[in-house]
Amino acid sequence: MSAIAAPAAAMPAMDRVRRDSRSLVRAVIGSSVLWMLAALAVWLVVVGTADLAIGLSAPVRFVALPAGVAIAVMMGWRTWVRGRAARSPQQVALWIEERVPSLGFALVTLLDDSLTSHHLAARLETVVESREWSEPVRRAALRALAIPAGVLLGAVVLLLLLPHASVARVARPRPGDVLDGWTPLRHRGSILTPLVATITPPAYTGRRAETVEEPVSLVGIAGSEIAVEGRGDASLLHAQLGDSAQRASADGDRWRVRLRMPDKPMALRLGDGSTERLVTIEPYPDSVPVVNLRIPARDTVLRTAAGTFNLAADASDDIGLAETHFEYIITSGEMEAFTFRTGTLQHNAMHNERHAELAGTLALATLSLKPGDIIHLRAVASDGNTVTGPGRGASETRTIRIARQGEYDSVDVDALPSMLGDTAALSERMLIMLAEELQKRRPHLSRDTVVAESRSIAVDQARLRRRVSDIVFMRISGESSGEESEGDTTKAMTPEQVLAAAESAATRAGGNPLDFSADESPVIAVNRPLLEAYNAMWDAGRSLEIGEPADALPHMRAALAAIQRARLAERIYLRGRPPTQVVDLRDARLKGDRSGAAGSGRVSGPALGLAKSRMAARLAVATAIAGAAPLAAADSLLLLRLEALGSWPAFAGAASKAAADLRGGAAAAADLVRARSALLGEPRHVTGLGAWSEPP
Amino acid sequence: MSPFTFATVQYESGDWDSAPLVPSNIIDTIARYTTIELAPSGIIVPLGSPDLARYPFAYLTGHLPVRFSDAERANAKQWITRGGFLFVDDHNHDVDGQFHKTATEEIARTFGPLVRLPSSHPLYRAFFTFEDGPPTTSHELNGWGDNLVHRYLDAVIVDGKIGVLYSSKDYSSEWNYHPQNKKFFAVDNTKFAVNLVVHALTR
Amino acid sequence: MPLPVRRTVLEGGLRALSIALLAFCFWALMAGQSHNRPVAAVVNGAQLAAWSLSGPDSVHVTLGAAPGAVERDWLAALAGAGTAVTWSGTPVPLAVERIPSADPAGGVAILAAGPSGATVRLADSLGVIDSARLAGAGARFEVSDAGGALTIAAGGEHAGAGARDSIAPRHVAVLGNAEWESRFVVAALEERGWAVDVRLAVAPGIVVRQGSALPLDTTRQSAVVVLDSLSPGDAALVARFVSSGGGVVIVPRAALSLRAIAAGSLQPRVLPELLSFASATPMRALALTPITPRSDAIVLESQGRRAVIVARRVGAGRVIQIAYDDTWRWRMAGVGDAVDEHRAWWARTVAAAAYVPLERAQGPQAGEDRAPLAELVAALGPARAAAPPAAAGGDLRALLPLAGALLFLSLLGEWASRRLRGAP
Repeated sequence: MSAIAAPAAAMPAMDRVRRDSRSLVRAVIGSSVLWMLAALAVWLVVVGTADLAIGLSAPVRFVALPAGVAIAVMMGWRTWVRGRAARSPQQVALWIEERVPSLGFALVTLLDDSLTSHHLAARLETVVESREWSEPVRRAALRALAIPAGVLLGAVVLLLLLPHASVARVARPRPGDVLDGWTPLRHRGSILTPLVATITPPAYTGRRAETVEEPVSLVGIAGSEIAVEGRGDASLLHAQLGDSAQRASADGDRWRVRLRMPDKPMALRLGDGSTERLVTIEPYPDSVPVVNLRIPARDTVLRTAAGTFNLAADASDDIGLAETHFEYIITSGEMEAFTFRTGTLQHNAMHNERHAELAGTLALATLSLKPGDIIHLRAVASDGNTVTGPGRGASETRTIRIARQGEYDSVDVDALPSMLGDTAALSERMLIMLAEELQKRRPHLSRDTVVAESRSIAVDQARLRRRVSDIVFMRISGESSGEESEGDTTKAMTPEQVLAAAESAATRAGGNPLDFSADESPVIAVNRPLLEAYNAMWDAGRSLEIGEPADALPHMRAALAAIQRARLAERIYLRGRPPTQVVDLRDARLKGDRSGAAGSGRVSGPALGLAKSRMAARLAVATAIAGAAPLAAADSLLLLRLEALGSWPAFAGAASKAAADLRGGAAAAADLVRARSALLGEPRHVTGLGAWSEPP
Repeated sequence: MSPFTFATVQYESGDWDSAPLVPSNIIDTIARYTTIELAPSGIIVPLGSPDLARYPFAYLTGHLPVRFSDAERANAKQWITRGGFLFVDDHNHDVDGQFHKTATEEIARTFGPLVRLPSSHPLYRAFFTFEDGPPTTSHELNGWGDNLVHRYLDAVIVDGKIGVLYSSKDYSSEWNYHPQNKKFFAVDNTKFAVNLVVHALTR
Repeated sequence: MPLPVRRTVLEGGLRALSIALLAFCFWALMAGQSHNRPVAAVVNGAQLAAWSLSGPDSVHVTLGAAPGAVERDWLAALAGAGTAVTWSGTPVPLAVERIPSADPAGGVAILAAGPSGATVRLADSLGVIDSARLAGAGARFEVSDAGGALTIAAGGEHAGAGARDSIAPRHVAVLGNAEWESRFVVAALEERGWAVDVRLAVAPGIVVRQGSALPLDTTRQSAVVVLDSLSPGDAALVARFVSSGGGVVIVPRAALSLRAIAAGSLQPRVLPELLSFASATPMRALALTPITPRSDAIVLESQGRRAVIVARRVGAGRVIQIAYDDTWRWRMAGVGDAVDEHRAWWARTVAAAAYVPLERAQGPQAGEDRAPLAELVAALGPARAAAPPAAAGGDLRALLPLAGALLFLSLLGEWASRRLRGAP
């Protein structure tokens, strides 16, 4: 900026230059924008014309618009960069000096920051005042805008002249717009190329339609709507799905076949009299919900029908859940007289969530249960399948049984074996922690203190052992058994005695009860997994009694591990095994009256193994013609795929890939080899020719 | 050589052992009429146990709802696919009963749909001839159950052969007596069991 | 002047030499034409066509590999047309035989023969299927037959097995009692595609029948599987069937009643080696009755020292004796594809015994060239150690370049000598 003040009367030179600078900057910006638009329009014209002429592939068209935008931005940037000097008054002054030579560099000198002479400045201002340069500035600005505007206008005109479909294929490419474009010469005359299929899943799935160009196989959920479209006269088209003919409708210059996704894989044959195309239709089912009942985790026997049960489950579905609930069946009665009641709990309407947590309570008192009744409980979930469903999934069933008075087979009516196992595990873990703590403090404690604390743990260990023994030996009356009752140490059995008794009981045929004294009810079952825990607790107790917690810890950990294993056993069969009935076969043999008996004719069974060899023979034929007639070979492979989908999925996959290769003109040998290996397996070879020759 | 062993399926739900005398009675019957090598006593095999593969013929009955666990379902499915023959009998003989409802649901879920077995099926001529299909039991009209005479058996056909045979006729009650008591019957009511076993062994 | 005289003589000599060389070249060319004796290291279509057009008196080819069937036949045709065709070289002897399995589900055994230690590759139109090192001059491939032409290759040599010959499997008879082994053996064979004639005894006078199992007849049955002891009469029928060409598979329980034709005697029954079928050798989880083979029997399979499958020829037929009674346990309790494996095992066992007439395809098959070297010798005679000595014209033609060079030098020398002495 000049340090000299401008005369007040007229507009100072600096202001005039700044005004012109602003005008030029506006022109540059406008020019940049116009060039951007023009470049984009020209790009669309070029690509659209190319698509009209040779038919651009979908990937090329999908990148065409971003590429055009990039080019346009570059063009605008270039214009701006070239004109950005208009922001500087000095540069603008120079530019004016070039166009108005009569200024004689007076303007540039006037705007020079190093000018300090007021006198000179006044004289220069006078010179500058007398010169006019607004016309060159106006012309330059107009020219900067007019050229790109003209290009833009021309391009827009060309775009308007181009077929709308071609422009749309470039400007807004979408799957399926192959029908709007150019048809290669080799496919002209066939109404089967190009081909577009749209799969619309059922509304309940909430999934969007999918469009496939030049489909080889259409995969969709059962019940989907399929529309196959092509260009040409609909009356020429013959469409057949499996054995049923499909009607083609006309829509302008296009034909369209609508069908519903079948229940099983099928082939859609399309023909126009001279050529045929085959598309495989492969449905997949809507899976039923998967339900897992978490609580109660095990079957249960209760002495009285009181209290409530918490219920918890989770359900999931591949598409979405519509409803969840708990379901129960109450069985009453015995012998031939059984009655059943059913009911449901905690209905929850879902809103197509894929996962749900179920929770509820079961109040036993409200169910009018009697001794001997059994509740079969499970969680159920339904999906929203309105086409082939609804799919209904159910969890495993848990049973809750109300014990009868004095029933002989209720071996654990006092407590749930698994729950007792749970508490036993907790208790044993606590004892281990106490023993470890004592062992850690041992160097700082006196021997007497160690022994006293150790014996304290031993008492708890013995109490726990007795509780475990109640599970180890189960007696008819449900009373404590196996060893001494609480506080009674005179009848204690050593582990060896217990194990011997257990082995004897467990291995004796016929399930005879263990020896028992007159006032004891017989032991009718032995819980073998807990025997190990019982034995380890015994050893641990002995070590604790003598004040050696370090020696006791390995046994305690072994006992805990055994309890954990026992807890993993989900169900404990509560009934006794029925007595074995042995038939005297020698006495009975052929004693019956066989009059009326006759030798029957047997009906031969199916030759299942031939399916594979027949398929192999067809694969060999398809392979043989793959070179000369790749499309026919591809169709054969697709049909093979349809048949193999259920039985030999690996072969089906390789056959599909080979078919796609053949359709696309690519080398298919590798996939054919894979298909052959998947179907026929690897060959065997042996060195040498073998000693046993083949048939003559 | 493995003799034929009559196996009773133990499943986790229900009263699978509701007809404890059926195995010995059928073993006795097979011995009375055929020379088939037999194990003298039946065996109880859990449906979810790999031991099931040792007994290609198995019998399943009960009154109470039948719900297979996942392990039972998978094991039984493989067993049937490989050639097992499962004879399921509704001890309630009640098509409206919970055994029927739940067992048929489980069978359809695990093995496939049940189809009606026509009276012309080779099963009814495998040894003795039953022109009219499955023989009627004295329990079908005994006042319990649905009080219907069930004229057909249903089956799941696996590779063209019976994989699961389902009966609502309550053979479990009809045959649940000690073999020695056969002598009190004018006509042996267990003859159909011979057809079941012979058909399973020769189909 | 002596020098010019000597130079004149020299020039005369050079002229004479030039004339002589010119004459030699002309003669050599003429001699070569009249005694056409081509020697070629490569036999291809163009070469063969040229020989066919020129009709040489004799042809000798030096071969690195046996020529293909077309080239070989062309050479044989030349020989037939009067051209003496000889060959030398050391092509690798290679032979292949393709034998369809006696199995309705197909399958083919490829027997490859060649020098011991060579690696042969088995291929079809898609590419290499398998390879193996030859031991004892042979290898055996067992492939599922897809029907196309198969070739083997080793060291640049190829032999083609051509397309499939057809087999005509007949029925298999199964004789036994109503029991699980019978039920599952019949099922396995039927599933494999065999038509099975069944006779299973259920009670005295009562049998379950399918087809016509007895009497056995080689025009109806390819083999019989005997799963239980037979009456003397039935055993005699089986023996007669085998003698007339049928095959029989005998399990331990049937061996005693068929001891006249059995492949061996039974040892005491032993318990399974393995408790589970979940191994690479599931058959070891089956109880077995080992076989002591007869002197004329061949052990096909053994577990350690115990022979479990033994084969024997009886008359025109074959006997396969196996040591297993309860293979159905494998099918029911095996892991993975136990059903398929059980089925395939029984198919192989029956195929080893079955009488299945092979119906050779008539006429030459595409890609068939089972023993190229043998065919070459048959067509052209044995190889000669080296190419025979060439006729004069043939060798002298090799001197033509040298003679030409000498001719050029002598003419150049004579011209230079004349110019240097100033003569025109």
